[in-house]
Amino acid sequence: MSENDEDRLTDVSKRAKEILHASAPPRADAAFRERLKGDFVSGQISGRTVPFPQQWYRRAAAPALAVVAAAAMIAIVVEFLNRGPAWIVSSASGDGVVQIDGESIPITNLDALRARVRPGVEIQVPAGGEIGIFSAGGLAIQLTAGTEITVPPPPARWISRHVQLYARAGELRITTGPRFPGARLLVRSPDAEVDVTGTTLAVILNPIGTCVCVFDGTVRFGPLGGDRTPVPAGTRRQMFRDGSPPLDEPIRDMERMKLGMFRDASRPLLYGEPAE
Amino acid sequence: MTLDLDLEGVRRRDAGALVALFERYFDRLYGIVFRLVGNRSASEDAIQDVFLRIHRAAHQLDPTRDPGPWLMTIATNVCRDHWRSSGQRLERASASIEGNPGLAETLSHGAKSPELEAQTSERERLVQEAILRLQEPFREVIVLREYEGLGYGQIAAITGHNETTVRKRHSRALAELGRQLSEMEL
Repeated sequence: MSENDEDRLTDVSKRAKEILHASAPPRADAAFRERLKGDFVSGQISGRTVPFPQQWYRRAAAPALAVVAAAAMIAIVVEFLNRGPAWIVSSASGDGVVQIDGESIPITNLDALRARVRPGVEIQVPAGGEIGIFSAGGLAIQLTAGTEITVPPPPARWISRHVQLYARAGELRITTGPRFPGARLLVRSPDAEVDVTGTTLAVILNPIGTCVCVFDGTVRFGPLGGDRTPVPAGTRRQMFRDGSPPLDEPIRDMERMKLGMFRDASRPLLYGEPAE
Repeated sequence: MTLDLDLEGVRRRDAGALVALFERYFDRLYGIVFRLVGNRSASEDAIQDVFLRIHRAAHQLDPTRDPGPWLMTIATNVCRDHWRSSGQRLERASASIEGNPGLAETLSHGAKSPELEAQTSERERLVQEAILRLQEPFREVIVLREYEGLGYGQIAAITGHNETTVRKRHSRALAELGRQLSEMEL
């Protein structure tokens, strides 16, 4: 792809560019701008004299810096100990090429996948493949064909246990393990958010919106930035992109079966016990 | 390229040089920050933080280079810090502009007649709403590429991602924006 890739854009993307380029630049409030300019030039931004500490300040800063350094060291140690078990690719099946941060990796090359999958990477599963990842005791996630996500950090052990997973396409199945209670996973699609606190579910990004199928436990599900309401076990809720009211109905037999199989297959990974 | 600015003066924090730098870059940096964080009050907080960091780090400025990328990196980092802060998540829920009456006013600056201004305001509101619905990494790429006209390599240097990732994000973000704008009948 060249730097100037206009010719490769779809009509929809070209139209988006035209609209963006036609929009007016935002302007700051003139009084605010002038005040900030004065503060910037004088070094008085936020009421502080910015860069030039006086001698007394330097003397006072030495013990303070020691305290800060000690606190930073403690924070580093706590952060290290607090990290949840790393993601491990437990399975990769089918055929095709997985895209991880733009790098192409054959789905059959499990070692390469294991080396590349880490928090923050973008994964795109090929149309003929399926990948499973898990964080021991915490979460197992199955990425079905065509799924695109950004891998979240694994849930931490004690503090800051909220993580977000960005999903852009496809279907993913999620089940939680014995170390998950107290943690929270927020799955964000382009138009909806699913709040997972302990359950087995599927999140399906389809052309009309986003759907969740809850196998056990409860999730909270709602539009992006809006209220999230509970979806109980055995229920499938479709959230519509066009703003239509959400539709609740019983979970479909096929998805119930797939989620049950997924949960059972994940038990040895999450609980360290044989599958039932 | 130094763009006739007195960058040595900026390094020394000379008042005249700082004024020139401010005048040259304020509107551009404010545009980036506003597009990324999405409402006036948060943008004012963020741009203030941007210029505070510029002032603090002025002595690190390389006078032999165009300061634009350095400044845009600071602005982008400030916005990322802003997104990470817990308070911002609450603001974001209301950033879809119904709760943000200053947004349309901010964006429609320069419209002529009341009717034209109203049409322009509504259009700008919808465009900004569509941008805000993008996930943050995609929003960064759109703003830097489409509004600032940066190349993929420059965006990669600013955001700390590789060029391939930037290209992919740009392509996906444009497609997603196009879809949203079509739904908004723009």
